[in-house]
Parts: sequence; C-alpha cells; structure tokens
Amino acid sequence: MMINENSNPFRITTPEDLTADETVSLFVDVFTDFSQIVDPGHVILKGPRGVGKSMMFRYLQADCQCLKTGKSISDLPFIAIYIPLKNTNFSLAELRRLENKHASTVLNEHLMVSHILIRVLDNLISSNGFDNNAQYDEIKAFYRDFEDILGLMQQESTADNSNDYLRLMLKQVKKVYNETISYIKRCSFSSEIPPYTGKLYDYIDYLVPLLESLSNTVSNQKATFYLLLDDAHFLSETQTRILNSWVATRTSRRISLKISTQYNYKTYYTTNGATIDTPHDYVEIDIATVYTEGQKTSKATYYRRISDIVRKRMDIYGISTPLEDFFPCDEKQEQKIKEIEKWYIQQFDEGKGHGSNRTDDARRYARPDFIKGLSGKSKSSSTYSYSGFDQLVNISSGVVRYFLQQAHTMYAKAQALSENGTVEYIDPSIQSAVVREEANRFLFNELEALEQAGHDEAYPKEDIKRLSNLIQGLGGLFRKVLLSDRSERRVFSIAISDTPTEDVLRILDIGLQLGYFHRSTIGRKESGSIGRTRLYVLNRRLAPIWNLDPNGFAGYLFIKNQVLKDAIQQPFRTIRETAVENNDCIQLSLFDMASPVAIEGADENEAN
Amino acid sequence: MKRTNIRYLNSSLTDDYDVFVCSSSFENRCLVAPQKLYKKHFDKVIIFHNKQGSEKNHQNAEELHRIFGKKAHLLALDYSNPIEIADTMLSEIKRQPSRKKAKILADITTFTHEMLMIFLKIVAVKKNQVTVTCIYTNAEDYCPSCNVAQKWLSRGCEEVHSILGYSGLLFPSQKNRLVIIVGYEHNRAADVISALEPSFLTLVYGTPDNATTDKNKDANKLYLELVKEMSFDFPSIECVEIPCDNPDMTADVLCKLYNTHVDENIIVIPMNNKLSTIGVAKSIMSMDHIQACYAPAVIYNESDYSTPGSSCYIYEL
Repeated sequence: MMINENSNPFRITTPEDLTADETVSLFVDVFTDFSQIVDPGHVILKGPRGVGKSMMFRYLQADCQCLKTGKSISDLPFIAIYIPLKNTNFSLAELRRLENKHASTVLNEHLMVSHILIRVLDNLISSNGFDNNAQYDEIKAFYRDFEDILGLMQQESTADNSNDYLRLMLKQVKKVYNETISYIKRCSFSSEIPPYTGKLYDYIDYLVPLLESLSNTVSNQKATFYLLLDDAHFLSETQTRILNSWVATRTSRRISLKISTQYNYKTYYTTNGATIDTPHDYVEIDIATVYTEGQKTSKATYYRRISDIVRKRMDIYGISTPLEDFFPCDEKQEQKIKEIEKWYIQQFDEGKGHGSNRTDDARRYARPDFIKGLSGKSKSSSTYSYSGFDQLVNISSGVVRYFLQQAHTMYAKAQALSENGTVEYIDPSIQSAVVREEANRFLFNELEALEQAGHDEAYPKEDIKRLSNLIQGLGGLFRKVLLSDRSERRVFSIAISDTPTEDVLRILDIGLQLGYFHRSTIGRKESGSIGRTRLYVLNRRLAPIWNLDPNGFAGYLFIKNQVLKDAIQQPFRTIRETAVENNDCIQLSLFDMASPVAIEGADENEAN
Repeated sequence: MKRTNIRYLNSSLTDDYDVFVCSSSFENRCLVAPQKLYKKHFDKVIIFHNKQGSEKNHQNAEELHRIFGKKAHLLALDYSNPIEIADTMLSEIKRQPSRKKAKILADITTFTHEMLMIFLKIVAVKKNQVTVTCIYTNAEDYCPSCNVAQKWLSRGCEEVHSILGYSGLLFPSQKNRLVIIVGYEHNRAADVISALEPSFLTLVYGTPDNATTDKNKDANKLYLELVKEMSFDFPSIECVEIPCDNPDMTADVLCKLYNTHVDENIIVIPMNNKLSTIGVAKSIMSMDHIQACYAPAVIYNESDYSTPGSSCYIYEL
C-alpha cells in the first residue's frame, strides 16, 4: 500500500481498485458473522451504503483467496468473480425503447450474460492464477468447449500459454458484446425496433454450462463459481426480474449468486411472475440489522469489527497508539460523569437504588443526568462533547463507512493544525465538532433540502416533509425522555403498539431507504403474546441534533400509531403535548429485552 | 460563435427560420430571447414544456404561448422520459416540408442538458433535412441571493443513466473514468461521483475570462475546489480547463482528453452551461465509444436559480 506523509489512514477506497495485497492487509474477517456468504448457495446481502459489502466481495475474489490461503486457483473451493453493477451499461437510455416488449427480457438477459462472461474471463486473467502456464492443457480443452457452447466460429488460432487462451476467449466475447451495444445504439432514434440477428445468450443454456465446463477443467475441487453481483439496486426492474429468475433456478451447487443491494431492490418477482422466497431460493442477510439488532452480541461484534478495521489501518501507517488514546474522550466531561456515577453507587449502597445491581443506575443515569445538567440554567447542551472511541463507534450506527468518513475528516483537520504534519491523537474538540457538523449536514442539508422541491422521480415532496417532521418529532420526544425522570432515558427506537397504518409505514419506509432509520424486530409487548414486531431505530449520527446520549443500545418506546400520525403532521406540538409518563417501572435496555418504556398515547396497560 | 447584447439579437440573426424551438422552465431566462425576437422571423414556434414541472414552469409555458400567439404549439412532454423527448423531436422534424432543408432557430437556454444532447444528436442524424442556429441567453448571476460560497442550484442525484444517442461502448473489463464538466451544481456533482464510484476522476472547469455569467466570474474555480474537497476518496484528480463560451474549443479539449485515456471507459456528465454541453455533444459525436450520462437532480433551487443576463450567444451547428 502506498503511503505518503500527507495521506490519511482513514481514506475510503473503492474495493474494486484495491490490489490483492492491499485487500488482504486491510480486510477484517467478518465471515463468522455472515457464514452464508462463504458457503455455497444464493444470498441476497442487504445493507446501506458503507457497511462493507463490496469489501467482503473483493476479499472473496480468487487473487485474494490464493494470497490468503497459499493455494493455487485450481485448489480453491470456490472461484469468486466480482461483477459491479454500478456500471452505467445497465442503464442505457436506449433499453427503455424495449420496455414492455418481449425483446426486452431476451436482450437484457443477453447483455447481462455477456457482461458476466467478460468479467469472468478478465478476473481469471488478472487473478494471476494461470501464470507460468499453469493448466495449459485444461485451458486449451476448455477453449474448444467455450466455442461450442457459445456457438462461436471455431478459431484456428492457438496460444502459447494459458492466459493467452483466456485472452482469445475474452476477445471473442467482447466482439459479441460490441455487436450487442451496436444494435442497442441503432434503437436510439428508431420508433420501430430493428431486427436483431446477433447472438443471444441466456443463463441456463449458456452461462451455467460454460461455468460448469470451466470448473470441471480448471478446478481440482470442482469449485463452485460465486458470482458476486455488487449493487444490484442499480439494475432496472426487467434486469432484476431476470436476476431473480436465475436465483429461482437453484443452480447454487455450481453457480452461487451472491447479490448485494441497498434497501431499494426493485422487485422479488421473476420474469414469469413467480416470486423468489427465502429460505427456499436464497438466504437473506441484512448487515445493518446484524450489527444493530437487539442482542448484546450485536453491539459487541460491531465494536470488535470497527476496532479491528481501525487498528489495521493505523498499523499500516505506523501508528501504534491505542485506539482509546488516539480518539480520546473529553477528560473533564468524563470526570464529571464519573462523579455522578459515584453518587448513584452511593445511593444504591444506601438502599435507594432502582437497578438490579450496584452499577446499574450509575451506568444508566449518569450520562443522561450530565446532559440534563447542561440543559439546565446554563443552557449549554451543545457543549456536550461527542468524543472518545467508544462514543464514535456508537454514533457510526453499524455502518463502517460513517466511522471512517468522520475519522478521515478529523484526521485531516488535526493534520492541518499540526506543525509537522504528524497526528498523534485527535483532540476531543475536533472529534465533537466533526460529529456535530456531520449530524447537521445529514439532517439539514440532505433532508431539509429534499423538502424544498421534489423531482419527478424522487419521493413526493410532501412525504419528505412528513419524514422530516417524524424525525424532528421523534428526536424531540427522545430528548424529552432523556431529560425526564424516567427509569430508562436513553431511548433511540420505537415500535408501534397497535396496527400501523399504511401512511405511517410509508414514511418510516422512506426513512429506512434514506438511512435515517434502521429496522430490527422485538417481541410483541402484550404479555404472553407470541411473535415479533418491527422496531425502528433512529440513526445515531443524528444524536447531536438533540444532544442525545448515543451510548449503549438503549431503550425503546412502544408508541401508538396515532402518535406517529400526529408527529408526521405537527412534530413540535406532538413533542409538547405528549407527556412522558412518570412511572417507576423498571425500564430495561433493549439488550435486556424487558418492559418497554411507555408514553402517553400508548395502551393503558403497557405502563405497568 | 457570436456574442451580442440581447437588445441586438434580431439584427444579429441574418436569416428567417421555418421554426423557432424553445423550452419553458421555472427560470425566467426562458422568456428573455422570445420576448426580444421579431415574430416575423419564423413561421412556427414549438414550445417544449415539462408536464411534470412546477407551477412556475407552467406559468412560463403559458407566457411563452401568449408571446407567440397563434404560431405557438405547446408540446407537453415528460422530461424524465428521453424516448418521448426524442420521438417528439423526430416527429416535428418529419412534419417539415421535404422540399428544402428546414431552418430551425433554437433557444437552448433552458433545455435540460439531456434534452439538449438528444436534440443535437437528432440534428446530426438528420443533417440533410435541417439546419440549426442555437441561441443562448446568459445569466447575470446564479443563486443571486447567496454569497459565492453558499450558492447552490441543485442537490442530490436520483439515478445516473446514459443519454439517448450517447451510449458509447464501455467494456466491463476496463476501469471507468468519470469526466464531469463542473459548474455551479457542485453538490450534485459530488453526489454523482459518490453514486458512480469511478476508478478515476477528471474535473473539467471553466475559467473566469470565458465565463458566460456577468457576475462572480471566478465562481467556477471555487466550485471546482469544493467538488475536489468533497471527493477526498480520490488520491489524484485530473483537472482540465475549457473555454465555457466556445463549444468548438471545448470539443477539441475534450477529444484530446479522451485520447489520453484510451484504455479506460470514459463517462462524461455535462453540468456546466449549455454552450459547454454543445462542446460535449460534438466531442462524443466524433468519438462515439465515449458515453455521456445525465443525473437528474433531486431538487432544484427554483426560487433563487438565476437572474437573466444581457448577453446572447449565437451558434450555428
């Protein structure tokens, strides 16, 4: 990895552009959290941008696996081919001419298969797996199969080495691809679809047999091909249906489709109108949920992952400072919070505590009390310092990129202030300023800008306004809970206690799509009831807007649908008029999975 | 390329035209040239109008209709549908009498970049049937109520798609270079970069001496720096200057640029003024393996977009 004195250890690089060496040195093994990705089988991997989907895919590629395991490509149990779908070739305007015509499915599938074939051959060449003429005879034999299966003219040409054979094949597929694009171009300004006379490849009759043949010839392990289709939300609806049809074929022993997508995957229907279902056709993984759902292990796992990622990056740059010292917390602030903690412990010792153990109240109330103190007479809530490694991890809300992006800005600011350009630690004031700027940018620049006017293809502007209201309403409500005397004051999530209406679900869904909420599930609140209900977790990046405590995966509110409806219309009135019930129930944290916090407007029997 | 004060627009046009084409917009700039032009210069007027546009857009369409009276044909289109735009333009060209080349005068000031690129391609394809003169009214200033550092015209990008007629030839085995012609829409530019995550980035920008705006001529340079700042993921960003008031020279600079990156897929996104967009179209028409893309904004700063300037540029295609 190239390092210069001005470079930044937290720089985010597109994984596609990392070398195998760089990838292996930077990658933190997360496959214990997502073992289905490494195992054969179709997977749809969901998550917001920046959770590390592409990095996982890059690491699975053959060049990285050979480097990591010391094996040759022929001995790998799987051969993974990275296929980025961000490529604008899938959004050619000309393809819209074919929409709602039978030709659309056939031509789009051909385009997708040709695209994949080029990526397969190019990946094999650049993986260096066949350097030094490895498996010359096998590759030569495969070349004949290749021409037979694809119906290509038998070439007399021979090649001196394995890679040259692969290049010959690549050249032939590129020619087919070129012809397809030329045809698509001819559709630009012709309202009549011109006749197509070129090759037409599909998944079942061309791609599957071809990759089977390749596996049989080059792999001692009869390796499964993993097609790593990254950013599938970029595909059109027609292309998504085609991809789903491939998933439905259950060819996963020979070809496993590993599909990554953000939450706006277009459809789960296939080209013939059937649906793909989990777990029969594929396994679905939501990375954000794995790292934020209501289990103690989630937070610990995410913390460990981030620590490993940051540690590796700092080590590469020769920074050996412990993470807690490199991102120190505000000492004065922490000292004051510790004093409050001591007071709570003393209260417990005197028999006046609420918690189940000696430190429970201290852990639960000290920081909220400190923030509450700041909002008192001095009205200085905004001086609360969002600093310290732990706090920064919590604020990143389960998304690695958020942490790295903020750390990158902090490092650059610290570097600019340093006389010799070296950064030994990031001052808490820099950390907190960056976190607050980022929160403002996220809510005010991004979301409030969306309110000002809508685009034809964007979310309706009224819905953006409703979402903004809902976020403001919930943030304000969480702040009110924090400043109350409730037994659990660190609240970041809500669940709907009665039947949610479509309008409320739609706004929550837009919030999910835009990353303002994460979704998880919790057990239903009714005593003795079975089943689970949805939990909506506000993105912790927003914590500074309301000076909330982002630490710990805190309590949640069961709220009636009507409260959310009101917040969507009149957030500030809702905050004002929604009294936070002052009961003494034991409010356990989300991780403890016990009684929910209740607020007025919730069912009467829930405030028990 | 001729530049004239808008007051002398009529005397600067040496010909009569069969058709005058323009597009309504939320910007009042769409009215400037139509208000000045002598109606006797042309037989027919086609007003493209975004049927999903804002109230202001509809009002300006009505005003254009009123200006041209009986000669006007208001064509309501879905501006997010390039096929509909192209087919409508083609059918209008077909309507022209075939005995001679139709002479078209086009006010491209408030065409969208996508619409303009499609129009230019159609004109190139139908060059035996039409001759086109483009006019472009400058802006005195953009986002006039804000200081330079706070100015913004649009934000967000919903999607990025190739422009009809400019699909290029991008090979999946080659790395992508994104070439953005940066203007005031720096926020959107940064969003496009973030959405496409290209391997390489080139930012093309105009210089103060050839800016078409009357005020804040050095703003383009500032916005270039802002985009660079927002693209911190790229260790090296190539920056190239173009003369934003000269389509031919812009095309030359871009062709040279494409030739220095022959082993890469090049995707160009025009986001500066419409004169530079003509340059983009011309450069790609001469090197058709290059792809041009359009990234519709999520929002436009409709209430404070621009104030009309006093200059008009006339360009014969």
